[in-house]
Amino acid sequence: MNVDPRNPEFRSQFASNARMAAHLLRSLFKSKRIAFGFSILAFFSILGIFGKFIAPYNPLSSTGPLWAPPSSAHLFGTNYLGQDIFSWFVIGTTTSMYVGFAVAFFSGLIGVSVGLTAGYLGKYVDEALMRGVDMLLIIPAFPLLVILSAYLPPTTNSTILILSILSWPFMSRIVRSQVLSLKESGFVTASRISGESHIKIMFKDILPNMLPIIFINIIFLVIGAIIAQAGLAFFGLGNINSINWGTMLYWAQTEDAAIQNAWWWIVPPGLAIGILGLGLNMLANGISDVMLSNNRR
Amino acid sequence: MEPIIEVKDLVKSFRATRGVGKRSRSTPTVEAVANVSFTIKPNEIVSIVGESGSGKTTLGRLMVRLMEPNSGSIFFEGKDIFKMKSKSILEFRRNVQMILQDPYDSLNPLYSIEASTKQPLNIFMKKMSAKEKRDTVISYLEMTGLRPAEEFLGKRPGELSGGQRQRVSIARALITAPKFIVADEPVSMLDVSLRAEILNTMKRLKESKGVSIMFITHDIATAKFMGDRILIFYKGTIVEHGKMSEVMNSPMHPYTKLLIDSVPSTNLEEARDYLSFNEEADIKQLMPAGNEGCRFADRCPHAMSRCSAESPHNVKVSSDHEVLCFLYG
Repeated sequence: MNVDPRNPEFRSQFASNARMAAHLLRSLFKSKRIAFGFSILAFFSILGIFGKFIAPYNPLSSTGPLWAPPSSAHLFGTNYLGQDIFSWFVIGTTTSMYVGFAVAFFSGLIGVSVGLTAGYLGKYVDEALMRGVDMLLIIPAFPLLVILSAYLPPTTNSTILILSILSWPFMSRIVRSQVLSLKESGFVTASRISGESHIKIMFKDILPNMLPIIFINIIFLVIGAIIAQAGLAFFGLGNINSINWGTMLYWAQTEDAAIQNAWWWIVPPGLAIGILGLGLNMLANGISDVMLSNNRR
Repeated sequence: MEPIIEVKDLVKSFRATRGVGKRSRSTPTVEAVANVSFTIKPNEIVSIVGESGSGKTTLGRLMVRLMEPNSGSIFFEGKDIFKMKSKSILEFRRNVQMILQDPYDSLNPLYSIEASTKQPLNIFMKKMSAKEKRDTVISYLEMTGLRPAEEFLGKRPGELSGGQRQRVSIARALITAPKFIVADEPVSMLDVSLRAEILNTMKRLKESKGVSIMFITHDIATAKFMGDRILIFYKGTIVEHGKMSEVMNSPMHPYTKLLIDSVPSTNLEEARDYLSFNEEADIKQLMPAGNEGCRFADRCPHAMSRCSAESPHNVKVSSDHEVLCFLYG
């Protein structure tokens, strides 16, 4: 497409797209749920992106007294080595969010590709892919996660790999069912009669109409991945030397934070997972309210 | 004149599903289109009339090669459309278009009217400049009655009424100057008050563009208004066909008579006659494949014993009027 702004065609198409986008954004932010969920996501994203600059101390060096409760010098107190827990928390946000979004990205990519292929091609391709998905869906995920993490090198990236492999099947199911219904819609029929290629029908007619649902499920994938990663780390699986919300809980458990009454070591990561989960959930539900209820008509 | 479309012994059957999508070899097949043959001449509107479930939509989808038949063939300008290779398929797509039934579903909600209408041009007129394409889109939109077309270009389907959307669909179907169009109940989803306008638009475009139209409908009044010729479709077979005026003035087949009688009338006497016509008719679904006998036998007031035993043959009434019934020989 000619993107010269002086081109009248581009201008009308652009104006029309911009109008639609603006309208969409306005109706999205009218929803209080979305505004609230988005604020939480934005808060943690900023914390995650600028964590290195926000953290007041090097989280790995001893910068205060041992087991000190929260104070103005150490917002979230210190741990058994006198390390600053607030710095741990802020820097841990980066890793936790990174794992969440990376897993959502990869498993979303696999899930959408498999679902789109299975749903559009149908027949034997569909049958083969969906039986594979069924197998992955019925395998108890957490034990498998534990076993896989025990065999792979304990790095953050292998955690991402494992979680991605196990998270995509549900997405592919949802995408497939959407494709099956969109495939029968009049505008797809119209495109077929106009001699449009299958690839273009898939990517220009079917995929864009599923974007809200894909987006919502990507959000759920983020929540799931953050929780699963924290769960694995809590059991000492994955990279225990990395700093994230899961390893914070792991070290708090190993070093008997509960016995020391050091609640300030346990509450921040736990609460953060909860609040971020809540925010993302509200965001997803809000989007589904706004975009899926006022329908395509 | 050489026919533009020739349908020969076309058969399409579906396997019925029993329960929740369970299929087995024992499930019966139903013939949605059973051994249908007819021709359509250039610049002619042929109305296909049949009740819901008669297989007329299946026939329409076969005509544009959206599905494959079990047997038989359709020739477009002498070439069998089911034996075409990809290059001639594209040429076929350019020449044969379809107007779909549901205007609320036949335009992608995400694209502007301009983008939707232009899509066929992007496929078939790759050499056209953006400006030419835009002008073509505007002229076709105006032709179908969307004036001023410039105001509609940037709108989404959601901002248009059903009638306006159906006009967009018609413009889109016509934009590659096809020779043959299948219109599958194009007005059945529209308000009654809008129908005449859309139908008039289609008739006018047929005159000015010289296209042939296969007009599928369940409403015999609409069929009469639109068509030069008429095919009466019942359970997958053509029970009567011929020139519109002849079939309407002297309907031969009992089903055709029923259809013409069942046009709602303000005359109470006539209405009573229609309501008492074969009250106990058991409206069965499509006929199982391979069954002998006339498909209308169980609803026919003139049914004879041979009607359920043997299949009737086409009887020529005049040069352009045939009926499939034992009453006439």
